[in-house]
Amino acid sequence: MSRSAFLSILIFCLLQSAGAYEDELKFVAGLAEEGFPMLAEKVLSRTLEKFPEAEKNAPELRIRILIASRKFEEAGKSIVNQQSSIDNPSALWLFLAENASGESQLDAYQKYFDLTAAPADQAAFNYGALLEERGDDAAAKKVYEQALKLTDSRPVKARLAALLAEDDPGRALKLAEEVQLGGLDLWFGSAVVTWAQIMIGSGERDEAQSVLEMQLELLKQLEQSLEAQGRPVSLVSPLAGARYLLGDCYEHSGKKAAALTQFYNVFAKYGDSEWGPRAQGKAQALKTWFEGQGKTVKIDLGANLSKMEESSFRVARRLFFDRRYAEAVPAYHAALNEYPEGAESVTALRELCVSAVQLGDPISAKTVAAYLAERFAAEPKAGDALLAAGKAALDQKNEPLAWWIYDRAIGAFPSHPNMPAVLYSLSGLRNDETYLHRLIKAYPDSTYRARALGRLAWNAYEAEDFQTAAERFDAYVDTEKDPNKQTRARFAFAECWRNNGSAGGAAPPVDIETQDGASLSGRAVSAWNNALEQYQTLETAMEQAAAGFGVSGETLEFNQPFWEKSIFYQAVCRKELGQVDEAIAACDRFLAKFPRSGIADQVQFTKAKTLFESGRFAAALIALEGLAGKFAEPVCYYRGAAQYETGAYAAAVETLEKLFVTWPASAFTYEAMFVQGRAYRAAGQTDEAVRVFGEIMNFASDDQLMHRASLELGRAQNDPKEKLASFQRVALLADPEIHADLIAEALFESLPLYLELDRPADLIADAERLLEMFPNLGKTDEIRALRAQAEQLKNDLTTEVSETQRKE
Amino acid sequence: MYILLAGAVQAAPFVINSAGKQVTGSAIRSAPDGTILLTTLNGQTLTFRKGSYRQAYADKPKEMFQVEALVKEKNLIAVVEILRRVKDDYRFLGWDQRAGLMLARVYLPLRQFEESAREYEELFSAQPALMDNLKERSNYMQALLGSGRIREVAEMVDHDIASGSREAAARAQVVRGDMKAASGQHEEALLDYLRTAILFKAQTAVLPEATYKTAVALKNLNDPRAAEYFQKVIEEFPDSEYAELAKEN
Repeated sequence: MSRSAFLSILIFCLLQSAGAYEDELKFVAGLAEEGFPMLAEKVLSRTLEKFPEAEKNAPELRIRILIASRKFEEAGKSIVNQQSSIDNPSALWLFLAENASGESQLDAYQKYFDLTAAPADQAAFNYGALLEERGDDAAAKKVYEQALKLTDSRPVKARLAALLAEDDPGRALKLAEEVQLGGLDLWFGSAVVTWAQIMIGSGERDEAQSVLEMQLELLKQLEQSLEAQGRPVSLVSPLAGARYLLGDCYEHSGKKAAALTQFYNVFAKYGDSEWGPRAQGKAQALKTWFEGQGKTVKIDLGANLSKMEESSFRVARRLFFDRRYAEAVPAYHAALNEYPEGAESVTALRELCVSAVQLGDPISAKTVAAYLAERFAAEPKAGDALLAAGKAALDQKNEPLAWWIYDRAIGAFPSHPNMPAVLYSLSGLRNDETYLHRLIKAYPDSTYRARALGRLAWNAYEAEDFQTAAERFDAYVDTEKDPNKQTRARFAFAECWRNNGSAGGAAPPVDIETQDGASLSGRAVSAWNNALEQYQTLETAMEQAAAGFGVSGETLEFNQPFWEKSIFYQAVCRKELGQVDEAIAACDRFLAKFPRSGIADQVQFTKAKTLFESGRFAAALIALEGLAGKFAEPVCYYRGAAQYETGAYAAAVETLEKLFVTWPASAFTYEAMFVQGRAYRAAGQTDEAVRVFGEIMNFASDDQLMHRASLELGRAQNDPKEKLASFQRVALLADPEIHADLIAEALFESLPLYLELDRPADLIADAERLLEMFPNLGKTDEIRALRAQAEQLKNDLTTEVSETQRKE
Repeated sequence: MYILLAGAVQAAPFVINSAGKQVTGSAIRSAPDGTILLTTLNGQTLTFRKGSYRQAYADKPKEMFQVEALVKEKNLIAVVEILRRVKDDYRFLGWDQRAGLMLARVYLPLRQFEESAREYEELFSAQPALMDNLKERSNYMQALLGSGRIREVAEMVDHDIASGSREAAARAQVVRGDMKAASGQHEEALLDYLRTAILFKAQTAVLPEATYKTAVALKNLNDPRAAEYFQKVIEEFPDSEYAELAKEN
């Protein structure tokens, strides 16, 4: 390949690459603009993975995604923080302004205008309108004026004309006339109104009235056209202003009835326009005047009634959504007293309640919440309202208020579709199981029932109240439809029984509990059997899942540890139940199925230990083969002990010596020394045996071990006095309630020593003690024979003494 | 047949028979079994068995004039005595129920709550619509409260608050507020008063009381808004009895 051909291909690839990611980034921007932020985020990540060099364009896109995700505050902060890495921050401010609301919107427009020499007409219009809405007419005028330096926008002119009508009527009139010349549209109508307003301001009402009456039909057509376009005519129609001003003209010319009609029309049909509240005030004043004249004012509001109601609430609602809660509250009060139980009332009460929460006024919030709960209990929307208010209180970190409101919602709206979810959430938030019990009882068909049962079970499990947990898992485990959750629950259920078994059967199954007289061991047996049953069920389920068609790899991966443990713990249960063969079989099944399992060594060790504890020492030795790692230390002990039990005394001594050297602080040390001592004795190395048992006696702190060692020491010693002393240490110091078997052995082994030491009285005394305390020892004949010998010896000694005394 | 006559008057009485026709007479008498004897203008005596007439009416008994005078003198004990007599003497002649209603009301200031409640219950049984009269319903609740029949009042109150007219709800809210305040539940009481004061402004009959009691409850809770509500009472309801009470705070 020639050098130039190579370069051409490289350049082509680079161009391809740049072009490819540019398209992708445009796509991301488009997705954000169209309101698909999550998708935009995914495409952006994918693009950046593929084209890391596109990162330089990413900050702007990330901000667009934030805006599309309605995270306006965060987006604003990001624009400020990343201004240096963004090519065109003003475009981002404008995008933010067009999407945000309230303070974020205002701030974004402000920033956009600060950065832009030539703001877009629409942006100027929108920003000005926003400022007007907030009552900042001076700032709005400034924005309009700035825009008009660069543009001839009729909407901007129309708004500026309206704002200048009072302060600069000359210029306003000029602007209004310019707008009227531009075409027959909304701005034409707006200019007509401004024009009429200026004429009225200058005292030329007759002309204003004449023009307005003349233009009324045209403005009606204009309104119909706006309505057809889907514009909110009640808010923007110029007829509102025209009718209001016409009413004003009529009023001044003494046509009060005609004026009242106009004002009521404006209030009823355009209540949410800037003219609505003014018209209402005028209409009310005229109505009062008529009534003062002894006349009755009858106004059939007809279809406008609901619109009027809506209008009454609109002012409050606008304040609410602008988060001007303190101003919203009196506006809601006024509207609610006018329309206390209308179509808008519940929504208004919801917003009133939330306003009170936001203002940190719990008394007012409770007042409204209680009102909603009692007076509107038949309306599901009132339930929504309480839940929204509760959520607002939670967001405000006012938990006592939130609980109060939620409790009202629960009491008043039990049929609300969200109530099971609410109860479930509250149980977690308040750490209170009462909500769960209520959920389970009141909503037996809810999907939350299983979750509630589950949470109750897990709560008890985590609190290690395994008895309660077992009862709760019993109710829950089969209701759980999620396979993974059911697996976890089944395992925990089995674990509860296993723990109950370990605790001596603290949790008897119902059938045993109802039959009084079941022994503690019986309870333990039941617990272990229940545990075994659950582990078996779990194993079957895991086996079926593994053999099932289309089971995902994730599920199988999730199931694996539960499958393994279900078999392993069956072995544990069998062992506890004394079913050694079955326990060994379970271990073998496990090891055959999961030879490379992470717990294979543990299972192998359990098998060896089970064999050892059941006295199958040779088999235990085989099972211990190859075990190392974290089990090396106990394996060393058990191997030594098994070697001793199988007669391999020297090997046992050696193995246990290795334990002392390798793990000097081993927990098995004294037990191992005990076994080693016995091995020495069995091998005839009594001096070593005496040394080892002596060390145990000197250093061990475990009473039982010391007594056992003392007993073994006596057996290893040769001097009958020393032997007797070792046995008597046990017989006299051991606790008869705990170590009765050791005492029996010590007493029994003392008897021949008494004979040897010519102490028949002591033999007789201990023999009596033995026969009295341990009638079932199984050595009665031997004891009696020794006692007879002692009595004979005693007589002989007595005779001997008498003879001696007589001789003397 | 011997009829024990329960009452007789000399005015222009009448009976409206079951066909709806009014028969005027010169004298009217009633018997305990509901039979009415009307002496017609030509001296004939007509007998109307119970069920055969819609209404029998005697003109205003002279005792009722006495009652009016005694009420003015605030001699309520004497009023009760006369009304009891009228109630007995004019059974089935309209005045028994009037006397019963007056008795039910008069027993309240005399704190004879059980008697008042009993009178109301008799009246409600005969005229179920009276139960919907807010004034009488409210008096009945007061009688029940005084008699210690709290549970019955609570049920009525809760019913009115949830589904009564707004006027009834407003009154009931104040009654419940009083009950809660009496049992030391000041915040709960406040919620009822405040609800009435801010959301039941059209119910002008109870508004001064609700606003005043809101102020008192706020004061009990050491809420600084108490002063604002006392001021509201003084400014918005200057002619009400509560304005004077508010000024004292």
